[in-house]
Amino acid sequence: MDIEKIKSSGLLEQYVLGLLSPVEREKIDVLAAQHPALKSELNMLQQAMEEYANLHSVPPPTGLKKKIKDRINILEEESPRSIKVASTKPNNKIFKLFSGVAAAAIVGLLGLCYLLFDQQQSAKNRLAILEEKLNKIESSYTNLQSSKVQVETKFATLKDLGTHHVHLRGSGNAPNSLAVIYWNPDHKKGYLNVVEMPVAPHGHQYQIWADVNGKHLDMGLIDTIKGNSLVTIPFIENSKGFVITLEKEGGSQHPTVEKMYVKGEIEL
Amino acid sequence: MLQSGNSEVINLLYDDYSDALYGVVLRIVNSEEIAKDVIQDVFVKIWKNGSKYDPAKATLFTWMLNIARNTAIDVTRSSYFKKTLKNRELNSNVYNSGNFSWQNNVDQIGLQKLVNGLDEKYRVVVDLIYFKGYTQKEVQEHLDIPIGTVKSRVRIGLRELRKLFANIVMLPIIFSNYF
Repeated sequence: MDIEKIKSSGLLEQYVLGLLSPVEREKIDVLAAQHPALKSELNMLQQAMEEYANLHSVPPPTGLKKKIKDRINILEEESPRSIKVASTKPNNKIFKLFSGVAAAAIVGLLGLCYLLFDQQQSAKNRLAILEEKLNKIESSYTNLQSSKVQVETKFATLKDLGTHHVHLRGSGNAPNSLAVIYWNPDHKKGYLNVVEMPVAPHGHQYQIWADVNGKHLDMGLIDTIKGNSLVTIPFIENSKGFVITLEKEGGSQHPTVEKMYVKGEIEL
Repeated sequence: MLQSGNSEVINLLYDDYSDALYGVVLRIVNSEEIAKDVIQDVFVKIWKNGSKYDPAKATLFTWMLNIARNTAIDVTRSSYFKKTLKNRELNSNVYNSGNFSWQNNVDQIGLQKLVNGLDEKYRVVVDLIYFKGYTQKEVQEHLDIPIGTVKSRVRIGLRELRKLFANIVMLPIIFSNYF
């Protein structure tokens, strides 16, 4: 078909006014796609009608926009759909509009990425802090666990019928002093509980001795001098009694008898 | 992602095109009350049918104008509309621009200029088709003129419009905001 003939036929005007049947429209669409001259003629006619429509412009009443948004929001919730551009041919308004939306989406996505990254960083930090806390709790739990075992062992020893309660009472140096030794030959265990004794003077330490057949054997220095804690002391076979003396710091080979503070014998 | 963008797109379209679309719809239904309902349907249709828009065939504005026109014209053909119209005894002479209630619109000045420039016989035909959805045959019957005359008036009318717009340097700022 001759392009000039079509241009003067009135078909394009009818097309623009929506007077053509779908089949006729399709023909024009095809021809316009092939012939730029036809296409630009159509565009100019369309533009004229756009201008004409524009002349009738009336601002819609306020509140209409919100009503439309509400309706679309409801529809969006019901069935999510996206406006797709049928053609990605550049240099037209819809393409630009949607590329704008796409750009906005990308910016939004980048923002989201940053936000997620940021959140991940702070999550990492929080995780590190939590791990540290967990480690502390774990080690303190281990400590508790082992001290629990100790306490249980001590308790078991204390209530054992074979355990002797040896009261070491104060001598002339400190009459009010009292220490108790729990002594179990069956399990070969011994504990010391210092109930009341004076604080060791500076440069001195208390030392505990076992009386084995009249000989005083060294059982070690006592660090914990006061309090109701049970201090484990070495078990010495055939002990008949115990004494605690005040010695110079670091202890002595033999007990200083004048400096004996408490003394007690195992009552068999 | 695009889902949230959709209502945003409608926002943009509304900001830039609602005046023109509402004006056309109002011109067609001749009732603010009905136009308000129609324009809602129009934008919902635009949103729903966005995927059907083909930029190769028409500008976005023309595509939306056609949706607005078709929706509004369909409404005028409904029995409800005809009843309402009768009850209100509205002035059905839509091509008498002097009777429009929205005369204060600035574009009416431009419209008036244009109307002065365009021969009444062409404008009547164009308006009957564009704003009333008449077919050429219906125009023929309505104006009692031969179909050939209707066709030639359509053709000349549109060419005249084109010329007038080329001469009147009063282009709407409608697209300038976009890009």
